[in-house]
Amino acid sequence: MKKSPYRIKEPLGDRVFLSVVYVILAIVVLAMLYPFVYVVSVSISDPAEVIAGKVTFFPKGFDLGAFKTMINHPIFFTAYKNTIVYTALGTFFTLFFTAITAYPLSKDKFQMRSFLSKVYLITMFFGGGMIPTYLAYKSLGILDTIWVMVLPGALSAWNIILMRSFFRNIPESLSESAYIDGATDPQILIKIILPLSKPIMATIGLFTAVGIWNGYFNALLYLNDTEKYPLQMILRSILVAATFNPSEKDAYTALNHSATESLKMASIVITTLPIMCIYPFLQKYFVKGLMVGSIKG
Amino acid sequence: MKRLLVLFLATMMLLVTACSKPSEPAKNTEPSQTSDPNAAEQKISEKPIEVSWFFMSNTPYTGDEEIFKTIQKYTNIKIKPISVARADVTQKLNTVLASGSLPDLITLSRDNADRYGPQGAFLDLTPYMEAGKLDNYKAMLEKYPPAMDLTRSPNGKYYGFPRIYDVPYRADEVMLGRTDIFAKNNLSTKFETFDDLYNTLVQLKKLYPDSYPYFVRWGTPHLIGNQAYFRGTSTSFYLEPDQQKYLFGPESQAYKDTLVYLNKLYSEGLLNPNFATITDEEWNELLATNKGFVTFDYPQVGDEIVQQMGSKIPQGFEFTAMLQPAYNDKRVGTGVLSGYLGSYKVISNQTKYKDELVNFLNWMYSPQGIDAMQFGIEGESYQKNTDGTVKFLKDFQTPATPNGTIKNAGLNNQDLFTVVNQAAINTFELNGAAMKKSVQFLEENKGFGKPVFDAKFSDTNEKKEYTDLKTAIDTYVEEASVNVIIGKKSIDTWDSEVISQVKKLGSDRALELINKAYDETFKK
Repeated sequence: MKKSPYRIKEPLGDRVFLSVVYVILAIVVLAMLYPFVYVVSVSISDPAEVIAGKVTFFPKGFDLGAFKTMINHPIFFTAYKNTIVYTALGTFFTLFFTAITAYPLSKDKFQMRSFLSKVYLITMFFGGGMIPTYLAYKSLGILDTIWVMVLPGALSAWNIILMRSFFRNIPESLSESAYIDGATDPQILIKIILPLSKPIMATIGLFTAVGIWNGYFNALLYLNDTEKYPLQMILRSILVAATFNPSEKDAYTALNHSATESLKMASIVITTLPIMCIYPFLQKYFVKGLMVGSIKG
Repeated sequence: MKRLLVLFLATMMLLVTACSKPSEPAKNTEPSQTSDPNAAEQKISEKPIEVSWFFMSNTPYTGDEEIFKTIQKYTNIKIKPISVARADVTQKLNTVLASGSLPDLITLSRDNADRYGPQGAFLDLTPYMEAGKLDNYKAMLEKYPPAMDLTRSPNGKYYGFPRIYDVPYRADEVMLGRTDIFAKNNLSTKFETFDDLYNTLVQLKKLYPDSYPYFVRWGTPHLIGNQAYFRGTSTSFYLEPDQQKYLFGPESQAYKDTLVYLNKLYSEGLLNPNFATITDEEWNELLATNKGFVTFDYPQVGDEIVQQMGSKIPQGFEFTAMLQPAYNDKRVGTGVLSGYLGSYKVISNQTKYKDELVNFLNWMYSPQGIDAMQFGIEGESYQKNTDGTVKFLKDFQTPATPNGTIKNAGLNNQDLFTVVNQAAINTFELNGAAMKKSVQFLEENKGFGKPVFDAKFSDTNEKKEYTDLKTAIDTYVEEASVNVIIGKKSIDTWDSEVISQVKKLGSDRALELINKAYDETFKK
């Protein structure tokens, strides 16, 4: 806070109240930051110190061995590339298909509007189930290809509704004046509506990107070729120690390959850092986009 | 603008079609149905073929690893691996089985082989055995008698290729301790009785007051299970080797003695009070900071912990085998692996390459195949010295060479190989200093036991009934046992309260079922 000579002194009650608020917020911030700090600390600490349980907040000893192990992982770079490709393509498809679907649905003159809206709505409540979905992808021939990672999630009813509501809040007169000037619907969408819709694009884009970046389940079910695995599959294989049952004969090998704490934490840092870096840049749109439809104007 | 859109859509459709082509399984050659079962010398695969192989692995395989090069070199079969992490393997396998699009070759559990084999998902091996095309497989199964009975599915046919330990024994869990601390304080590592062990723990507690000398990980069943096992009983239903009959452990005096003993350790601060929830990390920490000294665990850990700790290891640290105490003058041998193990490989009924895969798996039971799956290509990956030991010609990472640069070669991977021979045990396990010492010590003191083969149910309803009964009983007994150990419940009420409740839960019926299954499995 900047000290100003003209500053009005706050009453004591307010100051006490604010101090309490700050203290509570500081505790909340600490509680939220601590796991991140711990993860980073462990990942760069000497593994021996970690085993001895000496790392609690700050790193002890300095060792990048865990990161080296991660980078030397046989498919690390392939998987990283895959994740970036899936995220970029998937986000693009989602925004593209959602926008061209939401636009007609936002126009009153479109006659199938309410019928189609209902059709999309049904998919929000009823899914095909895991095996039928698998069989559908199989007969479409997209199993074990990049398309199974980016296409099925591209069109979700939820995103369509969000975007449609946003489009509807843009004054109709803008489109009407463009019509009068001879613009076609695609032109209106691209030149008028989309530039005004950055908040919703950013919101849906971010949700989708984070979802694809963090997703492992589709890859697990639909991909067989390790060369196509995204990063999260590696993270998962390192992190999720198998359900270990010592009474099982020959259970020892499950234990044998369990990763060290440092490696686990390093893998978390490597996989989550990039997507975390996107947040601050999109945050300004975020609040605006999330409030879509909350106030009827 | 419209034209642009149309163009974009058209390009995309093209891309979709173009990229979905490789998803089709590779069909390099014609299905070879021509092979003659009577031909004396069969090649494993006449033509180069490519097959997919589903197995569990926490490190993803790409198909370029040493093991797959080896297989291709010896058999003409190129493997396209589908490796799934242990945590996900059940889910993925279920989806694959339910969708009916099976990989050519699958590594799975006996239960799954027995369930889906008779439904027609997997290739029936019986005709191949009768035609003499599975000679190595048959010879190996006959070498370890329970293997034939245990591999046979309830419908009398064979579907799976079990994993075989072709060795007299491979060490499983043993009693382990900080032998360096014992030597320093002149304590004996050969316990005659459980009282002997108790007195030693008391002495250790005096020497290291902030320690809990006896510390066991992996929860309560593991803690009680080991103590009960070395008193010749169990926490549940178990096969009594002399009577060749299943009994219910907690009914025995030996089990009650186990609980009283553990209660004594607990109340005197000799047992780590955190035993029910201790994690691997906490356990490692206790071990590394001189706060835990005696446990039951895998002897391989002695080498691993040294490797993980590096230079931070306490001076002279040694974590090797001790001799388990005798109970009523009888020393129960540690569990060992030998012969049959219930992890299977099965061939999909949909594969184009049935004959080739049958030959391939038969090859895995042959001396050449066994060595190849363990060590790679002879003369290229490894060579055998005159004394029979194996020398690797490439820089593989093994327990003896923990800093080897080739980490994921796929050699000695239990989800890939089918047979373990003594050379493999010597090369991959007995090369660690601690492991070597542990095994030698137990051998000298006759600490190893014999392998035990459990009954297998042929009737799925009976199996389900037994499993349900057992789960309810085990859960109840575990809770009651913990209460005795932590002093909440007196052992005097064990028979009147706990055992009578167990009877109500149906322990007699469970015993009847499992004994029937045992007779059906082995005494047909």
